[in-house]
Amino acid sequence: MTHSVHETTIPAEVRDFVAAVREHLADLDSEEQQELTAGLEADLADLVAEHGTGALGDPASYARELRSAAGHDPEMGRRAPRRSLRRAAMEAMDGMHDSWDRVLDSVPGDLRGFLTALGPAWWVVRAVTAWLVVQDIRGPYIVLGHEWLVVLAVFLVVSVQLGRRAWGIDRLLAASVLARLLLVALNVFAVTMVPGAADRLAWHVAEQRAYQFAETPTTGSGPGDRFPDITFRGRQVCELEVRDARDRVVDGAYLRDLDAQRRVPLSAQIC
Amino acid sequence: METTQLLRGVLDLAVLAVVAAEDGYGYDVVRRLRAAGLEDVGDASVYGTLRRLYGAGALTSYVVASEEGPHRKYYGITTAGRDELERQRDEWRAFSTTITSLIEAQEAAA
Repeated sequence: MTHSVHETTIPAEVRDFVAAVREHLADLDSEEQQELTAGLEADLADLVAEHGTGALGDPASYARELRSAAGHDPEMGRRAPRRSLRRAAMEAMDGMHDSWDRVLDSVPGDLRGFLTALGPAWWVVRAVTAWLVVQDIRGPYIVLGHEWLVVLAVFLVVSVQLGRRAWGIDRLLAASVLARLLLVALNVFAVTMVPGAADRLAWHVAEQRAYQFAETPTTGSGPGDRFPDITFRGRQVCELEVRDARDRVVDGAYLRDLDAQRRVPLSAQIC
Repeated sequence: METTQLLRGVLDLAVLAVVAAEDGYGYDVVRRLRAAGLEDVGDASVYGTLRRLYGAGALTSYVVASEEGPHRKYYGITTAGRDELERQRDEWRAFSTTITSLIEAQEAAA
């Protein structure tokens, strides 16, 4: 592929030229105008960088050539385009998207690039959130059976493909207002569900740990003790003894964890 | 006959062949066509052709962010586009063989 020397800004001549070309496309619907002129400024900036502004030529001739090659009448129709509700909605959403991009671009440090790089992480979070919401509808506990892992995998694939605009989703979004609104609604819904999903996941982890802990025998010193380890100031302790003031082992004594209200094992099998 | 007139009939084939070799944005496709010998190809003709082929499902497109300048709209070929390329390639080969045979027979007779 031939790599171009990018201009950091689009020359004013190029902007004016593209604006003039757009005027000659005004009879086409906004989607077609957008498709025909998307990337045109960047491409013509390359042309001007290589051959100077003289290479731009006449915008009317350029528009005729563009229209003809794209399969339209070379001459612009006389009737002004009728703005359908769908078209108006598309334009409004495009306008909002552009405004959002401009807000991001106004923040120093390439915030838009940063957020774009975070996109794949969001696709995964979105899928896991959706999965947890479905789990929540199903019942009070998170189930990790095979069928639920398959559901999670399906959610992940769908979310990533949606993010990548694969499976023809890019065209669907370019053509359908409903699809765009639905995608926005789903994303907003997912964002609002993230805190609840994270909380639910945290509870699941806590419950699992508590469950494992509850399974541990509390008699403490027998060989069947499955308590994984006892530590003191970061160092593993293998065996504890309770002794009296004369340093004699106290028979029948045990340790009690007052916070957890349970007996502490006196030896760790892991040793 | 001017090259531009000949080009009109085969620009779809030329653009499909270039994009099939490697994805590219509009002006990149123009440059590659010119480097291949089609110096007279107009950039507006190429952009319009890319749009039409995209609309017909022969091409797909995606935007690539650039840190140094405006975002680029890249085109890649679809499976339907490859089928179309193959079909047009066969047509072109048959057509060019016919014309070559015709003009060489006339040249030999002269």
